[in-house]
Amino acid sequence: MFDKHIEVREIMTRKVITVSSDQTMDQAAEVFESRDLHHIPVVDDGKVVGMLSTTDLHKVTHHFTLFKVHNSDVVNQSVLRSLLTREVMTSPVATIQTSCSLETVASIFRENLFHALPVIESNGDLAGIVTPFDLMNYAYGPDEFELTESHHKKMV
Amino acid sequence: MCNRYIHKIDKEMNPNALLAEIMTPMPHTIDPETKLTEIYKIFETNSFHHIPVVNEGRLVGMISREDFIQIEHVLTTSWAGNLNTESTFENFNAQDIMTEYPMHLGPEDTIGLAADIVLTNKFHALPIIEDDLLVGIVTSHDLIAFAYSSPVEHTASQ
Repeated sequence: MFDKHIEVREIMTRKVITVSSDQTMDQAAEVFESRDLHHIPVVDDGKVVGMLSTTDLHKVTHHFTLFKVHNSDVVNQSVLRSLLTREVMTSPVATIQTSCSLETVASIFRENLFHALPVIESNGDLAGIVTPFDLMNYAYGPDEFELTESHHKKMV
Repeated sequence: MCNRYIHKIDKEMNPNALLAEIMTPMPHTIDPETKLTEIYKIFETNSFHHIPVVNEGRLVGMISREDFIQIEHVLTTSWAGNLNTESTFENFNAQDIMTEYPMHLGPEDTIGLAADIVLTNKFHALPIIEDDLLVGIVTSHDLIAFAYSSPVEHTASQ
C-alpha cells in the first residue's frame, strides 16, 4: 500500500554511477551517453561535492552539435577534454539523509527547480539518488505492490 | 529537517480521482506566430517549463523549456563564437520549434492514467482538452503533489 511516510532509502536508486571532481568532461560526457542519464553526482572520497546534469553538459557543448557539423564534434572533444568536472558541476548541492520521508523529498522537489537529490548516510557518504520519477513510480507505478512487499521482507 | 512536516490524518491517495481536480486551469499559452524573443521572456519571468501553443483555443503544439534552451544555443552563437543579433530570434516563431500535436487527456480522465503516460513516456506535461479546447495542464509536479502533499493547513503548522 502507498505510504508517503516511509524513508527515502526504500525507494532510492542505490547503484549510483558517479564521477570524481578531477575527471575530465569528455569522460563524464561518455557516461551520460552510454548510460542514458540526466544527473551524475560528483563524488570525492565517498562524499558528494557537486552534481553534473545534462544541462551543464549542453552549456559547454558546441552550439552546432544539433546540426551534426563535423567540426563541432572536433571542437567538442577538445573542449571537453580540457575541462574538469569540478569546473562545470553545480556546487554546493542539496542532499538529504536516508531517513527522510518521501513526503519531505516531494516537498523539496516542489520548492526547488532541480530534478535529482543525492541521498547520504549520517556520516555523509553517498548512499543513493532519488528523482521525481522515483516518487512517481512508487506512487503510481505498476510495480508498487511488489516494491512494498520487499519492504516488509526487509523489515522482518 | 526531516521532521519538518507534522503528519495528521492522511486521506488515502486515490489514483481514480479526476484530472480536473489537480490540473492547472487556464495555463499561460502562446499562439503559433509568437516570436522566440517573446517565448524567451516568458520562460525568464515564469517558473513553469511548458507552454501550450494554441490556435483559437485549440491545442496545436507544446514548447518545453529544455527544447527551447537547445534551440536558443544554436541561434545565439555562430561557429566563430560571435553573438547573433536579436533579429535571428525575430525570424523564428513558436510553430518552428514546437512539438506538434502533443499527447493530451481530458478533465474526466483519471490521475492514474496521466501518471502511467508520464511514467511510460518520460515527459513532464500533459495538456488537458475539453470539447477541442485547451482547458488546463497537468505536470509531473502536480501528480507528485497529489500523492505526497499534506493539505495546506498541515504544512502551515510546522
